Amino acid sequence: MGTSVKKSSTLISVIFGLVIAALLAKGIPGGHIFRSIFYLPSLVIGTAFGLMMTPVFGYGQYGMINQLIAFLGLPEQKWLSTPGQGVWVMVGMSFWYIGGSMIVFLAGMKGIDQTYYEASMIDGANKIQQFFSITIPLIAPVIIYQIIMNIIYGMQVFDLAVSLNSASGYGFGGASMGSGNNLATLVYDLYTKGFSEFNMGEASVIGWITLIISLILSVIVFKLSKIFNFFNEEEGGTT
Amino acid sequence: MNSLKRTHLSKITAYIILCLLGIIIIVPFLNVFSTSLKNHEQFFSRPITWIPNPPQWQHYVTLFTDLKFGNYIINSLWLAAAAVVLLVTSSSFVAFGFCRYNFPGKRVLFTILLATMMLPAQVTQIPQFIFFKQLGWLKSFKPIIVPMFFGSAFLIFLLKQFFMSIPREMDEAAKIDGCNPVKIWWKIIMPQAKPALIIASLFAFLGSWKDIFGPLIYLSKRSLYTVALGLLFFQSPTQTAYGLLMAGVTVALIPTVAIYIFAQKYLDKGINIATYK
Repeated sequence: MGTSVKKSSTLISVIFGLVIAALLAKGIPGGHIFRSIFYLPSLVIGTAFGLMMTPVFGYGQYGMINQLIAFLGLPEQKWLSTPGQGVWVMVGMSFWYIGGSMIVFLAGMKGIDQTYYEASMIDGANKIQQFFSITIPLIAPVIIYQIIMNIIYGMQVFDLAVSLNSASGYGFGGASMGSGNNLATLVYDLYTKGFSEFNMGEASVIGWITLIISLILSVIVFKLSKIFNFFNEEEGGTT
Repeated sequence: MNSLKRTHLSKITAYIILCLLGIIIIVPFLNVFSTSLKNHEQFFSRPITWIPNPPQWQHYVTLFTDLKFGNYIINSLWLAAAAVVLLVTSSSFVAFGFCRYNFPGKRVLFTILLATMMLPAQVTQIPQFIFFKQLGWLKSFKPIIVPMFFGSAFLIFLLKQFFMSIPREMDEAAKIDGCNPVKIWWKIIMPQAKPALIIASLFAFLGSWKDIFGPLIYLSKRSLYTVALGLLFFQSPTQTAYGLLMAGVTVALIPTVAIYIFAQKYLDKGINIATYK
């Protein structure tokens, strides 16, 4: 369960990030404002963000999504407290964190030579064809990099889990992080085992697992970066 | 003519998609502010009222008088200020070394440094916690402030990228004039890297303001709470003070939003350099 969640939240962030970056890369007027809006949630305190999202998903019939659902004539859902559903709420919330991916993709797209687009335009390609046959292949390394980084960050989601958990304590319809709900990420598990149950041994095991997974993924990123030169290690290399 | 029409059409579609997604992103922010001005009855009204009438501004007063939110803000600001001064100074010193000097094992060390950036910080927290516990530093700011003297991998990487663009001739000239490395760093590199230092400071500030794991395990005393912790262990006079809680969230959001509005130019530049270069 935990891994499927990470995969889907990574996908959301990558796909929406790509679409938004592609729309903004054209340099439309007002693009600056949109970019700010999309990046803003990434800068917010995690606990504040978690509490900010409880009125959207939680609050029973007063929750925003439930009101929207009721408007469409569907039965309301207990998004945060139903076992198994809280996980998908976290996936949904990753939509608010698309800003990071968007910025990375935008930077990648700015590096693409404009002549490719001009040539394809002469050949009669439309915008969507251009996106799939020029933009995507040319920033493929960036996409792979971003996917791996998102998976690594996904394991570290902590503030969101902990604040959703605390929201449940106030009768806000928050989520409980017990085994029933599986909302816990690896790092959240580490925290509860180590610092509220004071079982340092088990917490260390979780720490090691996190470390090993991150290490394997980081090695992949480094191998890729050798090929594609992400981190411009040579002095006076490409800008 | 036809293609002109087509580009117009695609621009309009782009705007519509961006506006829709943007609205989804921004609605929770507006909702937090609007809820912070509602009392119990106003909160439990359907459909949602966006502009409460009358607005309950007293929530903000209660927040600072009864709940001592001001204390949390001072604690957070104090830690953030320490982060800006200590982290940025130590990181720039290390970055200077990596950028200007060749020594055996430099490549390996730098790779290890970059690797630590990708490892979850929490993994190292258990040994760190035991270490600080044995020093008797729990329930104080020390476990959070002391590690700042040792720099942050991300800021070192960021600053090194900037330092590389400063011409080497300048520090060679200073060397001939008899400057030692520390003086070159302080007198030649630092003044020229001002924009980079501003960016690093912004990241250090935001990182400290947002941090929750460190404060959660070390600052387990209400007088030491940061804003993030204060929100997490929100003590409301009544069980369900939604308005009050959301007022707290609004206050916690203000510095972030303010930084983003006033320093967006710097943040953008920093993010571009840090993520893809």
